[in-house]
Amino acid sequence: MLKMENDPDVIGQHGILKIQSNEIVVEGDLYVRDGLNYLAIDTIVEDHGIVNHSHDEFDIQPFGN
Amino acid sequence: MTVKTIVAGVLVAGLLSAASAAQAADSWGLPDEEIARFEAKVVDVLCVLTGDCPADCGAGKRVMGLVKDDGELVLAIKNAGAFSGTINDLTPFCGQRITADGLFTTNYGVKTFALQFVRPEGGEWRGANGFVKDWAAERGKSLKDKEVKQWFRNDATIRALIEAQGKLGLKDQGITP
Repeated sequence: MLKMENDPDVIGQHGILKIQSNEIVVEGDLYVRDGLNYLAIDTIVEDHGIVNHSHDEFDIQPFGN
Repeated sequence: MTVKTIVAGVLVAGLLSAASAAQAADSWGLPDEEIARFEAKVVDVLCVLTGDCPADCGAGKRVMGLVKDDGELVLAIKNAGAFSGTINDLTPFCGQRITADGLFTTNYGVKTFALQFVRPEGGEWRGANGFVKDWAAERGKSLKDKEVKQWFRNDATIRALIEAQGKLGLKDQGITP
């Protein structure tokens, strides 16, 4: 994530921290480079909150797989 | 060869080994982990991808990366400290060549790099624990301070967020541990 609501200070402004694990719908720009997807978010269109309440789908992260 | 010579030789070998180990990445048991040391240019990722390039890489407000000599952009997502990234470690070397030592890990097809040590060109190795060092300095505390080692339990922003959202982030749904 390179921008949150058009602000590149995604860590300092705690934009990601506040919606950690939330399912969101965003508008912005997607950049693909060397196999990674980078997202620059202009706007959060919808915030569904935390919808996945267990580790069933993704296992324990980052050590489970 | 005298016993004294052998002992001295063992000591020198031990010191060389210790010096080398101090710069070599430790395994963290990450998925598809690969210990790596490489030279690269320090960049801000937004600059590389969009061409919007402030001279100071955003002065600590942008996600940082490394461009290897073959052109690969490496996302240096993690540093050597607990729960912290590399912005504080890499921003001072914006646009410069460094040697990075750490771990590549690939999880669900996403390959990222955990930086453990960094050496600026012509400089000395240093541990990549810039975030916690700065966190301690801003509060006038020593790195050895118990509060600093557990900074994530003592950070006012995190404490306020946990208070508001609960430890699971589900307080608004009435779910708390």
